[in-house]
Amino acid sequence: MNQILEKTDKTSESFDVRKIVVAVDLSKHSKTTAAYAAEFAKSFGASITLVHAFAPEPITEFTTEEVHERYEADLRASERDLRKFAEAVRETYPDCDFEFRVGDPAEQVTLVAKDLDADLIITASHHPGFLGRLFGMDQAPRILHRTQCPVLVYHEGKDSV
Amino acid sequence: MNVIENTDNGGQTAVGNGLNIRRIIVAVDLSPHSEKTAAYGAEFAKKVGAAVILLHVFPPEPSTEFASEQLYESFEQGRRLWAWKLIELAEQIRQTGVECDHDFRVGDPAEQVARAAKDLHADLVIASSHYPGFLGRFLGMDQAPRIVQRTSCPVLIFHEGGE
Repeated sequence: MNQILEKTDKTSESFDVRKIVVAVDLSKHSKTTAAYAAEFAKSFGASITLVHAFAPEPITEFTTEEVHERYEADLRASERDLRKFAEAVRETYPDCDFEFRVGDPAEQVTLVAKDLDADLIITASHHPGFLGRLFGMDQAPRILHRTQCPVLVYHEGKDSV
Repeated sequence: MNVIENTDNGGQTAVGNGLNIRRIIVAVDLSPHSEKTAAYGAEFAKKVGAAVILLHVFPPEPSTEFASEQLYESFEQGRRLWAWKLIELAEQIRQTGVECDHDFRVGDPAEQVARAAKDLHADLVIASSHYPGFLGRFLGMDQAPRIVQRTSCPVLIFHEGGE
């Protein structure tokens, strides 16, 4: 008995990439990741949701009003950047939404994927060095360990597209 | 900012998918879960009109001063058995109507997958993750993050048991 045939028959019914969550850090490389995700979504007729997570405010006893205001301004600017970014993506791929979150990037991306019942998460990897990996600067492996949803890791800076 | 600028690859877009995914490496460890990964890879390939290369990496022969002829023979037997299992799995994929080849390698799984992706000009690697605990991750038992770190083409990690 062909187990693959049996499994692909079952998978065929459920295999559908309809919702894609795309994690972006709004760095200059995000444009390439979003372009790849848009092409990917187009191939499957899926929607994309761009997710950016802003780091939470560091609260210490030395936090002043000025520091708090600067944090709030940065947060608003980041949200504006994400909105603009999503508008630019919509010019070429209209089925694009965005979600701005505050918190740990890997946690927030997986939460959005769960909330939206996403079929795929696309994230980029920067190929950090040993120290970068040690300090968890690359979010891709952290996302991999937190979600049950398939994760596509696109290597920024590589000539994949 | 025009996102499409980044997707323009000189008119080399393949029919069926703008990503130009023609060759997908599906890395399997040939555990009972591998059939799920292979089925996912086959379905994916079918959707985008790509060919599959089913890849298995067998661990290298343990070379110690105590390695006997018997140990060597048992290693060879194991290698032949897994190679045969890979051929059988590739045949099962072909029966689903997907073009499928196989590649059997010996060495470190993550390194060999990365090397195969480069050698075979793969457009995508599909591998699976087994959800190891903290200790398993610490000891590097889950190959998925290692494959992601070493491979230069996009890597899709499918969570076995997650569907």
